[in-house]
Amino acid sequence: MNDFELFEPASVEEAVGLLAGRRGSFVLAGGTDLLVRMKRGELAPENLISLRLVPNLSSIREEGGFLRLGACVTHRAIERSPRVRALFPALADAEESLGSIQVRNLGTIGGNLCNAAPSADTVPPLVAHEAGLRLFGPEGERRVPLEAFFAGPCGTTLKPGELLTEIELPVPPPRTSSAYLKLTRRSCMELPLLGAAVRLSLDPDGTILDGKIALSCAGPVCLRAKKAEALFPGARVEDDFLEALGRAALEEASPRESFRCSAEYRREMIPVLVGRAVRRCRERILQTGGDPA
Amino acid sequence: MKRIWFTLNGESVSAEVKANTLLVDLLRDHFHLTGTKMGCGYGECGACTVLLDGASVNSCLVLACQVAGREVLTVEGLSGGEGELHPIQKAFVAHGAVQCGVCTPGMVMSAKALLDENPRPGERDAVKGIGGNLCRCTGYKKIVEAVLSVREEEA
Repeated sequence: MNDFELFEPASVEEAVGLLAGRRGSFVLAGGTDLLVRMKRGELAPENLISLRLVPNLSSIREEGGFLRLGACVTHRAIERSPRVRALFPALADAEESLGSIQVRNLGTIGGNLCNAAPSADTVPPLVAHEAGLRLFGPEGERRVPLEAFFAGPCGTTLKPGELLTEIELPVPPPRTSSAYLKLTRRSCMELPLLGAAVRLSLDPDGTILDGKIALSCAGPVCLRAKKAEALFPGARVEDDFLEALGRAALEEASPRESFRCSAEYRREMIPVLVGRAVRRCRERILQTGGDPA
Repeated sequence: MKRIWFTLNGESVSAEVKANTLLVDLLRDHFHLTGTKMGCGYGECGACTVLLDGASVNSCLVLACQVAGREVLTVEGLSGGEGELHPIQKAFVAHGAVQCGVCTPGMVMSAKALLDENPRPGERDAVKGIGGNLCRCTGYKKIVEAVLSVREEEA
């Protein structure tokens, strides 16, 4: 690994000042991606700005109709949060499937988002739950919807000197649940060949009120299957509907051929995973009797 | 160079480290605690697993500077004062859960993290608990049996 200078600021303002003021600076959160890239020689930052000592970035808070995840909350902490499991089960599914326990004890949700890999596990659940981000920069704070945060594979719309500080998740209405299904070759230490997150709201009589679908590895950035989503209102979770839904989601997708998986296999599996995820949402709503809280 | 202080296997220690010194190298080269193995260097194999504030981490992905003020437990910190093996280590011996041995310290530390959190894991929990540790001899069956036997003995 190259030589660098390590800064450990004690506030967001100080971190942003360091980040904006020094060229060649990278933010160090969990380090599970950044240090690997540095070891491989893909990156050689002159300065690392560690967020370890910045207060409040590692807390999970519930207030004002939102669950607020600090950018430095670890994957493991999210996986083990009873509130995340109850309100945002797709996110808990994704977190417990990510890397290994060792990686989840180090890696952070903010780091996963800022790396912006098209295969990032946390992104589809957060998109399906319409998460928003709080960004703090030299010109103050701004909020963006997560979907507007990504700009191509491994690219974000973060401005120079800007820091992701918090992920805001709106608490879903009653009779709503979500699920994330991940296609893999093994059960640990694996990126998704394909990932599908669905959020579903049902009427008391079982009719679908509303649904969201977000897919990873189905395009250059996490894909929100909006044409498929338009089929949700008024439908019922039945075979014919799920087939039509899967076909609609597939039409919007543009999965690529990669060394991990053929595009053909990904296309084949998109309707399968979407259908299974919808069914899992329905099971979860029935299990909780409609009140996840 | 920067001086850091932290707790290593229950004792307060300090060391001079560079910004790019990794925890695994600090443990092995400075403190001569060579139980922690350097395998892949990319967080894939788990041979370098140690507990940081009680949580298992890949010490090849932690900067030494970042453990300042924190607690690190390595495999050397498990055994008792007279060199008596920890129950997890005894179980690995009793079940023959060791082949070439390179993965063993990491496996033992992952098992420790699992059992600290869940003293009565099922087979699936044990398999998941060592999911981040590769055994190139593929001796997983006996390793899982060893982990589960600790649960049984303490029950």
